[in-house]
Order: sequence, then C-alpha cells, then structure tokens
Amino acid sequence: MSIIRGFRGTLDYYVWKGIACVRKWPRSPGHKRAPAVEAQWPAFTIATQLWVKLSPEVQDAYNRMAAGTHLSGRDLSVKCYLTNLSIVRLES
Amino acid sequence: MNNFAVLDLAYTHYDAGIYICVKTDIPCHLTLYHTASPPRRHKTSRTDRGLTLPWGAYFCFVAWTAAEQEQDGDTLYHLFNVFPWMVLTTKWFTFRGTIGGELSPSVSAIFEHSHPGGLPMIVDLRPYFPGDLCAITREVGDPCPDHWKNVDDIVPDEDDTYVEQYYFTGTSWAYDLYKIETGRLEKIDTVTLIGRFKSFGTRPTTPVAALTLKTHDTIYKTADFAPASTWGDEPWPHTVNPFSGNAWTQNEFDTLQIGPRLGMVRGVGWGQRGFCTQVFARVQRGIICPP
Repeated sequence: MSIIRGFRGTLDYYVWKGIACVRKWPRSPGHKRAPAVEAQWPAFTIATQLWVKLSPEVQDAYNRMAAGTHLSGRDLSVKCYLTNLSIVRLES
Repeated sequence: MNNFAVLDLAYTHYDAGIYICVKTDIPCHLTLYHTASPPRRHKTSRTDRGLTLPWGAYFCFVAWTAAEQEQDGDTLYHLFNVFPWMVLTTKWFTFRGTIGGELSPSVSAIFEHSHPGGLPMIVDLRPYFPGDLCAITREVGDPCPDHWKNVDDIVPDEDDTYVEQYYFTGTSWAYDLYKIETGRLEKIDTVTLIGRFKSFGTRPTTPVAALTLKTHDTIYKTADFAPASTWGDEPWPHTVNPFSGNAWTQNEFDTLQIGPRLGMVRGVGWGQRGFCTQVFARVQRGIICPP
C-alpha cells in the first residue's frame, strides 16, 4: 500500500498471469526515445509515405492479408517494409 | 537503411507460364517464392496490461519454389519467369530481397494470381477467313473467296494447294488479302509476315511477287522480288505499325489483313509468273513491365 500511495495521478489496475497489479498510467515519453527507436524513425517515415505510391493491386494484396485482423492493409505494409520476415514464413 | 517495397507488378501470360515484372522503390535484388498451396494464416495476439488482445497474423508458405530475378545485381525492375504455371491454376507468391548483397528485413505482400491462358511468346498466326480482296487469278485448291484455304498450311504443302497469277495476255498483277487468327497478345514486339513463294517462266530474275498487309484501311507492300524456281520463304518484319509508326496494338493486330501480291510478267518471247503456297504472321510478344 505504501508503494501504491507513492504513485500520483491516474492509476492503472490490471491482472497479469493471475497477479493483481497496479501502475501509473503510461505517459508518452515525448521525443526523447532510445537510440534504437530513433534509428527506426526515417524508415518508418518512408514506410508510411510509401502507401500512396503502391499500385491498387499491391494495396489490395495488403488489404486481403489484413482482413480479419486488427490491422489495416496500410499497417501491414509498414510492418512488411520495416521488420518482419516473420510475417511470411517459408516452411519446407 | 536496408528496406525495399514492391510498388507495382505486371504479368505477361504465355502458354507454359507467366513473366512477372516487378518495380521496387529502390534498387535491390529480389527472389520470388511461389506456391500452389494457399498460404496458411495464423492469427497472433498480444498481452496488453494483462489483457490478451487479437493483434495481427503471420502466413506460412508451404511447398514453395524460389525463383531469382533474371537480371544481375540490384535493379529497380525485376523480371521473373515462373514456369511451369498451368493455365487456369492459381499461385500465391511473395518477394524477399538483398540490397548490396545484404538480406533486407523487408518482405512484400502475398500476391494471388490465376493464369488466364496465353499464347506462346513467339506465335505463328495464319489466315482463317477471306479478307477484303480475292483477286489472284488462279489456284490449285479452293477458288475465291476461299483462297486463304490454299495458303493457311502449318507445314507448307508446297504444290498441293497454292495461288498463282496468270492471264492470257500481257502483264498483270493482283493480290489477295486474308484475315488472320488472333489472340490475347498483350504486348507485341515484332510482327513478321512470312510468305512462301516460287516463280516459273523463262526469265527467273523478273520480280513477280510481293507481300502485302492492310492496316488502318491502308495497304502496304514489299518491293516486288523474284522468287526462286523452288519454294522459299520471304520474311517482312515490322517492329512498328507502318501506319502509326508506334508499337503494334492488340486492336491493330486484330484488324490486320495480310496476303500475297503476284504477277504474271510478259515480254517479247518470254514470261514469268509467281506462286504462293503459304502466308502467315509470326508475332514476337513482348514482356510487360509497370510504368
């Protein structure tokens, strides 16, 4: 309780693996981010700008892939551009 | 940065497969992975403050085959020849790549495409119907307006059926025009008319034959030439339509008519005349790439 009393502002109560937890409501860290995160910014900017340059057929392919998930086709295009060989896995 | 994106792609369908031309945002070297098995989708979730939420998905390619781009090194346009790809079957494919020899973390979308059928990349298209003119005077085989049946051979039948120019007196020239088969040609690089001619008479060096074509309601012909006394092929290549000066279009080819022009040339004490046993258009198809 003393720890919880030490928190200020809005608190976030949740259960993680059966354990009741509480923490300060997350705040945006603003523009001061880890170097690894900042290194991704130019690529992320390009990734988000590329969507409008894709042909309708390529956009359709992303939209079909994203159907039934909580991602949009545009989200998926950014993920495919940035990081994820693991989105399409080649199995023998 | 070591990322790429597939911006656009274009297909060229032929009888045994498909050429796929891909444009990327930066130069890279791509490999295409294709499969006839639908990729399996697995949904993923994430745990956010104890709450498990549906998130995205990943896709498993099974029974895939890899095809590396045909060009060397890193390029903006990437050409793949995917074969065999049976007509009316569907394949799924995706691209991975390297940039400067280093594997890129990027992957393309998964594309799905069905082969609608296509002609060979080099295809011979033959007369199948009378055209606007049937004026050559003699034949062995079907008479006008069906002269086309005498020159539509796949394997030339030489003297079995042919058309021939003959008149009792003086010099005369005449030509036939035939409609020719067509199909989905998509992009046409070259149209070569090929006629198989011979001549007969007492002055073999006399020009008694030519090839003609009709496009945009205009008739064009080769210079008159003197065929040998035995059957031989005479090609007439066109990389562009002679009327427009631009690459052939599908519509121009669909309305194209071709045929032989034959002469019976007489002088004092001599005569020479031309024969034609086969005529067709050989089309060299091109590969389509995105703009």
